[in-house]
Amino acid sequence: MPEMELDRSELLREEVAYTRLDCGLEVATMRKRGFAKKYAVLATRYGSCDTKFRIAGAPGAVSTPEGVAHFLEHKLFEEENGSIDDIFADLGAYSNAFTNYTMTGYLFSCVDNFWPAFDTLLDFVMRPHFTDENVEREKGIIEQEIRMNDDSPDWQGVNGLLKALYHAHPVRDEIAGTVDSVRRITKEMLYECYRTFYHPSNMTLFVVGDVSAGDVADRASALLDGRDFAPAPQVERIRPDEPSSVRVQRVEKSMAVSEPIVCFGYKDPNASSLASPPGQPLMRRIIGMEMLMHTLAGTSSSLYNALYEEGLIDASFDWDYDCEHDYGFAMFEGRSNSPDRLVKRVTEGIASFLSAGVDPDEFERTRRRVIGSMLRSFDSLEFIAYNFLTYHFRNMRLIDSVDVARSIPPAEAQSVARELFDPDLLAVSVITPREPEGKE
Amino acid sequence: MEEVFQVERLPMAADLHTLRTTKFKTNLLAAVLQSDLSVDGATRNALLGQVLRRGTRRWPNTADFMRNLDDLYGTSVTADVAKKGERHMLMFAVGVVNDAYLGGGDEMLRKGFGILRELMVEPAAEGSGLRADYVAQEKINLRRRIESILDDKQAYAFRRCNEEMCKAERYAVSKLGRVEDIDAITPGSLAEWHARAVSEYPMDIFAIGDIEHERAVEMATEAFRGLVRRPRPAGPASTQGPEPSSEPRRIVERMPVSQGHLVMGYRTGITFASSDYPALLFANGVYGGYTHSKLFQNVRERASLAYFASSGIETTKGLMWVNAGIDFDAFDTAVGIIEAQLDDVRRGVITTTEMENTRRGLIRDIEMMRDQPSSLMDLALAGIVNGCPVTSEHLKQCISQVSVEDVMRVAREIRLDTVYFLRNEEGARDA
Repeated sequence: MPEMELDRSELLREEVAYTRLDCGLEVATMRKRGFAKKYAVLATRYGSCDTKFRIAGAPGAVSTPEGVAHFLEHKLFEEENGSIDDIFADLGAYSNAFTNYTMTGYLFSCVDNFWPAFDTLLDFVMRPHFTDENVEREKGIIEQEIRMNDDSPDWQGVNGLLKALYHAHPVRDEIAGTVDSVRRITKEMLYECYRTFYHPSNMTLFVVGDVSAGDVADRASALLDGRDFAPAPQVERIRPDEPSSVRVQRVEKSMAVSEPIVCFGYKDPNASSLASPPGQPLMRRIIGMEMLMHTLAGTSSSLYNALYEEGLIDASFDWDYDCEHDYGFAMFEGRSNSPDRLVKRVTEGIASFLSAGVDPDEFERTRRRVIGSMLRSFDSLEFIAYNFLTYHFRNMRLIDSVDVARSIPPAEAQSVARELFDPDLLAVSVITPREPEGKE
Repeated sequence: MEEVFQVERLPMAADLHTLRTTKFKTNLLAAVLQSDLSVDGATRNALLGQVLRRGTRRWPNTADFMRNLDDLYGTSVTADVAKKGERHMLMFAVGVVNDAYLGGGDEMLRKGFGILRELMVEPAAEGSGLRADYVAQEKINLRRRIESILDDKQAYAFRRCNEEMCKAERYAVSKLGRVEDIDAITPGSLAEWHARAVSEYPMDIFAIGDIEHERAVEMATEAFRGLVRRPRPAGPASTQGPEPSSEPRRIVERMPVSQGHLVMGYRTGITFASSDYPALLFANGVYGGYTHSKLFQNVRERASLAYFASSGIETTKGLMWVNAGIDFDAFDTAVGIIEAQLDDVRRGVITTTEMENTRRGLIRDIEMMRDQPSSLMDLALAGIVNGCPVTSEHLKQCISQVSVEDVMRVAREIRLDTVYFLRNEEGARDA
């Protein structure tokens, strides 16, 4: 049996067992006793941002159109004689996949037939089958997916903000690409990106459910360690130079919405200076900011309640901070009939909050709340399945969340906030209502 | 482990449903008040939910109420409305951390029941009405919430299809009511409405998690002590709609959108209480419930017309919908393919694989409910509303016995009523 490393959280009463197979694949399992559902996710460190890269030994760099990672995700399900979904359906398993800025994940969930479904997952992701014909056929489907996103004001609001904050970093591009970029994708590009990013050493398998970690590792090893994988390519991901400033301060888009939707946020000045995911410090930054932003603008804060009572926000108001090693932003969003007044009030609120300093009692109250919601989220296998790998790829450990939340002093969160909430790094994205021309 | 609710009538004329499981880190406590779906009632209930979650007699100030919840490890609180068939439900829920994760005892659980009572029964009041500033603010917020359905084109298309299809039935009433009925509501009239709802609506309480039944009975009885209720039975959960005409209604609406949203509304004539309900679940699964289903396979995989194309059923009113996001020009082609698929189900053009994969999919979905307290509660509510309690185990049994003939029989009962299409402003005016 491959050697296991255990990570345990006493407060959560959860344990994750890690191992690395000979082929390079990392395997992690979180056993959830008593749960009916079992999830397995096989993911690679390859997302929509990886549009330019250089492989050691190859001449020159490779540039691909936007949307290749997502397109590849769609096409990997295709087999010589049909879709891999059919095999999962035969097993009574539900299969799906997702692509985000930095990763692509393939997953199934099931109650019965876990092992045959497990074998299927590990097999199909490792065996691409792209043809000119099946690549062309997918373009119509993806075009509809892009158009669906085009009609989603929330999505457009966030994407507008990223386009305002970033000059060149590919996080400003749509994950699925554009109708135009997708039309330029070819079978050859898919194979090239597959060879570059789908080597087991670039991937992680995660299982959550009532399954033994030893069995998972043994089975994965039996399936993959005998295979003849090419040596792992040395890949250098090339990112354009991103100025530290924001590109524009305000963007606007008109759509068929009932009232304006505003999304505004600060570009994280620290993010681009980090060469690789720093793990623990990044985790402290993310969780510290979550606690700070809740204290500042959460439902129990004076700011939130003042804005709500004045009618500047409603229950749709939300905020978030997310950070990768090379991009990051803190964001507020919601419906508001006076977007610019809302932005002004929140920025003033931030300024006075920072100058007064974080109230230690309020911070302790937030801490209890954050710990409680972390406990709650571990009741959801979906949450765990989707978030474990995001954390893992940033060298962070999801089950350490509670311990990190317990240990962050208010001063630490405050100093991150002082650096982050820089008025010069603020941009605003507004979706404004466009009246429909009428019914017939 | 068997997931079956234990039910007991409490002194204040409410049924307590408990389900004990130790696998969760949080416990769910909920109270549901049922009423007939009506135009006035829906708007008032929706507003009431929004106002009640602003604060309680003990915590009249919203920020203080929220801070108290933060102190209790982020205890979650909801007060909202839902509809099942022609029943309207005011639902209150409190999620507390399982005491076992906080050193034992039952403090959180006890406090959770207390919050549930305060939230539902003891609002922040002012004179003889509910707090006037909250009522005024929430009236505006309810209007905004009703109007904002426009922002989600799929939900909007879905609602418009239902409004058209059920024009003459109570089912057409949205769970949030109507904008035009908001103005007339006053803090006083809402307080009266609240008193009546709490006293007269049939009430069910749920406790799911690490809670022994006897303990829950004791705590719920204690929490709601003094509450005097005289429940009046609610009306039928569903009334018979008009027979669809042979030519389905066709509604086209235009808006500046990038994608066309097609929603087709059908009448199944089969509800949760019907012995054919498992066969209907099955027919929906073969037709459009899964990625192996006919709709996904033919509309998306073969014709590349859509990113999503699926069907779903309403369990209490007996309705079914198909929805797909398509190109504006693909309307006729898509409707043609969609109808042809249902015809195939009716005629029994169904492979063994389609049957068995649907059976496995349905059984998996039922078993997965065990991991989701809200799904378990929803199944119990479907049983309560339809007057026929069904356990997930029983439903699984029934699913295992459905035959192709059963599927064909129920599919033949399904009639297309209304075709709704949301499209762009340009292009042909006739489709």
